[in-house]
Amino acid sequence: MSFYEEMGFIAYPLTVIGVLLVAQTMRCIVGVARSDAAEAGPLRIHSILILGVLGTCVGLLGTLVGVYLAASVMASVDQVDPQLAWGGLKVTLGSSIVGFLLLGFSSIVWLGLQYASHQREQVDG
Amino acid sequence: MPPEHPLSRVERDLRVTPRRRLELLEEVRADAEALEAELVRRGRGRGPARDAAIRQVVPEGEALASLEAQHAPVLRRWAEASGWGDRLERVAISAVAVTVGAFAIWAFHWPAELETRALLAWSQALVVALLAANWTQCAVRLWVMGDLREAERRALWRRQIGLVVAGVALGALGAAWEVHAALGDAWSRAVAGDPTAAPLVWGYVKRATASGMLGLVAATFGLFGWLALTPRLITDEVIERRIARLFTRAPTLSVVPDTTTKEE
Repeated sequence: MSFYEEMGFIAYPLTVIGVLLVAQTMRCIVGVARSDAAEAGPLRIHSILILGVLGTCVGLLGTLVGVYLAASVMASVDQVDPQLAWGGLKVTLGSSIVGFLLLGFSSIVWLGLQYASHQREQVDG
Repeated sequence: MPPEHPLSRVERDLRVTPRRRLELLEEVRADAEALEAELVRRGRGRGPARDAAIRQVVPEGEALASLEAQHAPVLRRWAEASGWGDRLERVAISAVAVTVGAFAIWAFHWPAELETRALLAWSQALVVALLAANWTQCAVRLWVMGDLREAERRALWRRQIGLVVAGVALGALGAAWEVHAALGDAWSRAVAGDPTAAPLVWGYVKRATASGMLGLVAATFGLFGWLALTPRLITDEVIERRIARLFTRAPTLSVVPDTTTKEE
């Protein structure tokens, strides 16, 4: 099973957030390059960071759902194979990793765009 | 301090969508310019001609109210005609807050008796309800009233982000409380070699993750709600920039010291 498949249902909202993040990033980069206020306004640039934080929240939520389901099963049985338990917990961390990757990407892009738009504003006066 | 643009009062007082506001301002400016040109052609100086054009064309008082009523969004016109104008926002906020709050409590089956985790769950439900109320307020201003100015927008955003942080903090607090309880109870049994300790520990893990999940659901709800408003907010922001540019690049109506009048 691939890393993507292992994430389960939470992979779909994370994919949507990732696609939106890339689309907004491209629009902002093009807007900053063309000094187009409509494409690279402060709200659009901030929305990149919001998408990153949303990705992290959804990723962490996926992990917690996984741990919750695992704990539900483990609480109802007497003996649990430690290898199985830790293997399951490892799988649940996949969505958090993707969520934090989205946050890292979005925060770097956000910082870069903030800097670039500030420079543009200074040049334009 | 630079003199105020003659149209800035219209911009400030006209409570319609930014798009309609821009169109109306452009119309008024074009009318004023045409009238000024006509008066100049008839032999008046540029200064008096401009003043007369502004007096005649720039709407004030009742004219402004009539323009506002004419260009109000359909939903706002319906709300005002049916007498729901003032109550709509409060009713919508209450309805959404009660629904979401009730759903949040129902969805997680938290115990009804007054204990710490129930208190935390109720606080979470309150945060979700406040998030819904804040979002509704923003949505009503945008789509029903049609006018959400930057200062209000910032205030609503600050409230939204504050509530998101509160949701996460309450979730983390709930999780920490469960871990604290587990360390006090189940862990001591596990150390003592009690075979029933392992399922008990997992029970605590389950409750801690449920609490964290509640916090993250609140945060996701708040952030996703704001993202849903973002396209409209971006459109309004772009138009507001165009309005600001209109004031800085409108030489005819920008009140500058007039030299032609003195020369005449």
